[in-house]
Amino acid sequence: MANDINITFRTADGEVFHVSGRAGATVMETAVQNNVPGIEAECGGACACATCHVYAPEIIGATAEVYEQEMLDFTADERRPNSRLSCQIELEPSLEGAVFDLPRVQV
Amino acid sequence: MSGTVIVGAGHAGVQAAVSLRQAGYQEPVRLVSEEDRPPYHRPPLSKSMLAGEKQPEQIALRGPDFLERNDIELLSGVRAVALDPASRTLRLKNGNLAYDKAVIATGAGARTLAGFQYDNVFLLRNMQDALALKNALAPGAKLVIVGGGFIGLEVAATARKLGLSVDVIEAQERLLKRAAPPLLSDYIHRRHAAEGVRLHVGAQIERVIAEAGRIVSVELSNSKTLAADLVLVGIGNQPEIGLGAEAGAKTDLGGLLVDPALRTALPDVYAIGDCAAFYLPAAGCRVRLESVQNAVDQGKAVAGQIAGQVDGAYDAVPWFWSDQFDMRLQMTGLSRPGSAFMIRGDVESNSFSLLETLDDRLVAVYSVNTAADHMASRRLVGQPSRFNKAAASDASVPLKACLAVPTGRCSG
Repeated sequence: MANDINITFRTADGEVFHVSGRAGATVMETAVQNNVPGIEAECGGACACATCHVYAPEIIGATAEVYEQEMLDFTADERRPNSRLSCQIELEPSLEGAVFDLPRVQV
Repeated sequence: MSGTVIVGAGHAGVQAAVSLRQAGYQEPVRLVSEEDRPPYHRPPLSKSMLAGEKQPEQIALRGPDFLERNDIELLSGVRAVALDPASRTLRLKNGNLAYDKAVIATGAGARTLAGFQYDNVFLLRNMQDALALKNALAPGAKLVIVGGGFIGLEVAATARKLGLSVDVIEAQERLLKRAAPPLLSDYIHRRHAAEGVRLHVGAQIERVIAEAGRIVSVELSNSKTLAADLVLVGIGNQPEIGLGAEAGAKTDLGGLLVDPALRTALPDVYAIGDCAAFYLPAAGCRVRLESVQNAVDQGKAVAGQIAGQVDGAYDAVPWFWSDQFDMRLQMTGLSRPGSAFMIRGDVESNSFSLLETLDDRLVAVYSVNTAADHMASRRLVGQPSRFNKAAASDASVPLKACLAVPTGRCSG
């Protein structure tokens, strides 16, 4: 669709998924809708399970709220400075072409 | 080979199907769903979906072609009417399905209230219910909610956000009596009251006044009268156990009784999720749990059993969440009789946890806006070793640093 935003997911093994979603959808929802493996999202986006962990591109910046920060301390894979929960990132035009790296494990 | 037939495409059934494939199971996998729509997340039905923040397709459990790609056959809009364990056949309304293994993941339906058959009375259990309720939540309308449990309180919060007037009627003397300790009930009560929800606890419904097939007001036994444009009944669930029970499976706690491998008393028939009753070692008793966590974890576990990869007993620590207004409530473990409670953090700051201990073991943690405590509690609750209460009483010490190590000392 014309207004869709294109993003890329890259697995820990280097497999690449080019997908698109509409503005306002979360990065997690976009991954699930496009069958991207490695995003479990067991709680469905309630920021309750920490199983939609991604390593975010620089453009996202340090925008995680305190609550998400606390959740990120308990991800199954290593937490890095750019770790985010993808259910808390909404697609917007500035993310066109952004690349999200996936951790090896979510649970 | 006839493979595995899973009845019910909620969180438990879908997880079982997906996990079977992830485990390398090669036989046919069929998901029989009474609903005529793709599987979806249920928690948003009372929250973001009901509020209009999420569209139904955004809360899909999987992408549109995921099941097909994974060779999982979804039979939607299909009602299973009987199970015949002798011939290993699931009878559908319009045909039969042979199986080698059957998984009953039929969940639970919303309990109804006798005498509440009116056009403006709603229940909330599935997407159809949620869409109907959403349609009726007009700003300014007067919503009366019967039941001060999670469904009632989540809808109350959503409805207030949408600009409705809200009354909640709870027969017990406090909200969430089954799930929360008194201090948490009191806190939630105050937060709802501050947001303009009118709460009537310890209240009995005397009668309803209806006009032209619609309730117009609800009279309480304390002679209060609540005007109503619409009524939500949220008084708990009734497990859907007919398939198994009528075929002779044993039952308990309203559910189908399963062994540590999630097997019912019927050969090659398993039960998981809201409709299953089981002994949970982490709780030390037989339970039936209504939660996403339990559904997902049992879906994974049953797949492991069927695929022959797991031979251990099911023993996951229960956890649960609820979002109401600015409260993120997260609970781990199950309450025990005779336990003690301590507060960690400052209740007035809207960020605190209640720690429940029994004989110096941490048995449950109830967190409000404290993700760190909740996530840590999922590792601590159910540990056999002692919990360091003194260390944990200082909220500046991370709960995760108070791991109940075998020596009984705090590790951090």
